[in-house]
Amino acid sequence: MHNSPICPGCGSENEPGADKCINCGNQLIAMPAWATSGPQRNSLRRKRIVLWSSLVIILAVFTWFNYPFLPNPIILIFSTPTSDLSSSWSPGKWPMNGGNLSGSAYVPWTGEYPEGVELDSIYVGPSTRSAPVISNGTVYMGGESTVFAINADTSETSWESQPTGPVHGTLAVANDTLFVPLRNKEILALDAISGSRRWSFKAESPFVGSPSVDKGIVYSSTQKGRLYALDAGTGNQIWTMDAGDAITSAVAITDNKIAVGVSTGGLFIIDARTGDNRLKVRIGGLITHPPVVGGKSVYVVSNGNVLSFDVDSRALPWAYPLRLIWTQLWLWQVPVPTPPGPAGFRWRATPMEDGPESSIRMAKNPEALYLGSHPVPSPIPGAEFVTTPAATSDAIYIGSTNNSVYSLSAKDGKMLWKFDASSIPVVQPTVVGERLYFGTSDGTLYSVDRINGQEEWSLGLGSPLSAPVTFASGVLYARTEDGRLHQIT
Amino acid sequence: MFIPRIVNINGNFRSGAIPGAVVGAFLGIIPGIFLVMVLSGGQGSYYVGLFEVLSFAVISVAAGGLVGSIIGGILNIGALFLKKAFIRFRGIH
Repeated sequence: MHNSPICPGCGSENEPGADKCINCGNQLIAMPAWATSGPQRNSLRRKRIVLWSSLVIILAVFTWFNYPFLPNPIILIFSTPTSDLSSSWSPGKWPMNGGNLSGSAYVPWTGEYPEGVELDSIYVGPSTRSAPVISNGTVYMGGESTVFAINADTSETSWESQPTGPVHGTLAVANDTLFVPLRNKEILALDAISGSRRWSFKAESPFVGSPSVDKGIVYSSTQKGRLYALDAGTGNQIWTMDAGDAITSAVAITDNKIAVGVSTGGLFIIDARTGDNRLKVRIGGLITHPPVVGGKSVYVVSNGNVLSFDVDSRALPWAYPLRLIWTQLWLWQVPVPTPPGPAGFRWRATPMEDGPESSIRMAKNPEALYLGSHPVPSPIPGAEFVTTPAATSDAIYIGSTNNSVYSLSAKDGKMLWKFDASSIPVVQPTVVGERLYFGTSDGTLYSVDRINGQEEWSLGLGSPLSAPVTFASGVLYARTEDGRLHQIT
Repeated sequence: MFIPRIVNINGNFRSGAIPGAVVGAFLGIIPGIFLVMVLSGGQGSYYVGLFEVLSFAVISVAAGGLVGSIIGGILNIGALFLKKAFIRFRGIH
């Protein structure tokens, strides 16, 4: 009986006592019996399963922290809002910045449009950026260390509260609760009827963003770039997000998603319930105005261009850092393919003279890599978009430094019409049904047909708008730099 | 038959996969280094936190190890195949 070992690799027969296969060089060591059968083998197998399972779990956790494909169960279970308060629009109201949760400044209207007649004008104190909000026939505004409620019919002050800091953000009203962001790092919830305090929350830096309230959660941002989601009923923190740099003055909410613009050029789409990140885009150029959502698009203004992104898009895991590396290698002229545009990017537009120049091609152009940091130059020298856009599902309306307001197609950014005003538009236009209202730096308020861009009327207010025009029950409310509140019908 | 039969493909794959995984994991460090270079040398904010950099590096190393082990295993089988073919060919002539 011979004892020639057979190679497990190639099956060759070898000399007795050989260590290595003469054919393929594989080791010819026979495994001990305990390693191939019995409890020791089972123990080895269990250890191996535990090792590999642990490795997979660790990698899954690392991936989930940066790309949460499931909602955060801890927030879902332990941080539930205690109410269903919402500052969403309803007829007769203008409950928050931009009129609705998406910040679009568009409200439907089928009644009589204002005809440009000034109904009343009252002095309400030094002007701030706090636009008038309207609910149940009462106008609410913030001032220099004051919050006040004015009866919309009589123009008499219903109540006035003296908070401990200036109010520069637009208030939000949800049912009978008024939310007030303060520069002394506090956000207040007041009784909208009496002005009495219900709760307050103190953050690490001043609240500069206009709050939004949706499904019982109030969202407001601070100067140092932290977005807070608080229980609208109690003021308890539900979640918070650190954006790194200052967040623009408001966020836009749609379908349980929040669009957050960071002043240094970041756009975040996050889950409204848990704060989990869905999409992160580095635009590069400064974002100068808050994002707004119209239809399925989110719009941001950066370095004089307006950019459109798909609000539903979601980045793949690790796509963001990989794209950073890829783009940098490409910029170093390493022979790599041209990197793709960022996830969700649709188009970019700049003020145009006439003849629509499609900007959708920019998405396929290497210049799209730079987005706002290298803006597309306007064919009109020095022309830039300078206001927050008003957005509907089919078009956006935005003011530019060449004294014009543009209507751009939501689909591809092509110019639909251009209206030449007397001077530069100063704040976000307001869309009511088929009319567009906007103010210019010389204190003129315009009404324009938003379908064809034809002027309906204009009205001199004596001073530029300090905040966007708001609308409720057929009346326009305009706050001007001279501290006056105008009612126009 | 000229083309030899390879016994124990699993064993040969494993013996190649281990060094392949080591080399792949080592190469997997490179994207993490690139990311740190981009973040530290660029202009403006990148909105990438320390944890994201760390987890990107870990995943990159893990992915490198996985890909490296697959390639290493396949290469080892291929090398064995060529070796056997060469020995058989030499034996015939």
